[in-house]
Amino acid sequence: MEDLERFEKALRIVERYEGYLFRRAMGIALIVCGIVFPLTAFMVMKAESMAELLNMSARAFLTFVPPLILLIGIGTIVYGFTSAHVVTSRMRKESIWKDIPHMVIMFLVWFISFYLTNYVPEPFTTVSWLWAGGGAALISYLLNRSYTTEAEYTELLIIGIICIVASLPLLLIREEQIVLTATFLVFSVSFMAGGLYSTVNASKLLSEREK
Amino acid sequence: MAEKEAELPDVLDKGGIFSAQQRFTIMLLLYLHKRAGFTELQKLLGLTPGNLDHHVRKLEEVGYVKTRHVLDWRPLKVIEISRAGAQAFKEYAVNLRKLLEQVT
Repeated sequence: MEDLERFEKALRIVERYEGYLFRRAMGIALIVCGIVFPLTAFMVMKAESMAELLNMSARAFLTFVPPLILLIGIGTIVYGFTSAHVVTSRMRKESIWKDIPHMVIMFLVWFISFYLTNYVPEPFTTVSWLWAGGGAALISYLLNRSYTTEAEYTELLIIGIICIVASLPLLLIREEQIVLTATFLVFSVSFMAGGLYSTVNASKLLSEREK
Repeated sequence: MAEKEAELPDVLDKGGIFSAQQRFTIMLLLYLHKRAGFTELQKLLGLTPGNLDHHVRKLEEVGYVKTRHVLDWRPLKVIEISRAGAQAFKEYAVNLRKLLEQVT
């Protein structure tokens, strides 16, 4: 029985370690998203001048550079989550399928939010991407809170608040190019802030003592 | 039953290497995740550096783990499980499981 207790205690510690790995991977994923996606969009927007700088045609630039950046970014995210794979739940024989409905709902929230921006009238279309991202992040935060009590996902709250609040002054700007650049910048800052919060707070999970 | 329990330490844990909770936890974690940082382990187990070093050395002495220094954004000491360590822990876990099945 002593052996069983030792095993249970060790398993709880490993679970805490896996929670730390997951939060760290999530933080890195958010930071990578904050860099890669706005950077790719910027590259596509400025393809001609960038291609000229690199002494290549705009078509060749668009074929290679943005997909390469995206590939590196997605690769980094996938590597992060693969190294944070959770094995203790498998040892406890918990079903891996139980999280699928929750993940589908989260995907739908983000997809529908951005889909709805198609119906926003013209001068506000670009800013509405921030409302979509911010709104989806806030809804995801609330959904996660109701789904699990183990984690808070405050990073989603941070992303949501930054996107929504930063979108307000953009409504006063008439120059479309400035609004577009600022929108990418806000996305970038909000995701990086959320990612940094997640990464810094992940290490707190390591020192958490059992109650 | 009493005879079986008396035989336990030898059957399950050769040399009593896994008898300490900390070493058992380190081995379980490394068995499942291959490697972990020294600082991470220290925080996770709530040990002082010297105390963790003592347990890691014990595991190193029997060839179950190896430490190496890697250069991340800061120098890191990483502890990895060896093939012998993974094998020994697997055997220990299998024996423990069999024993628990007998007991329960």
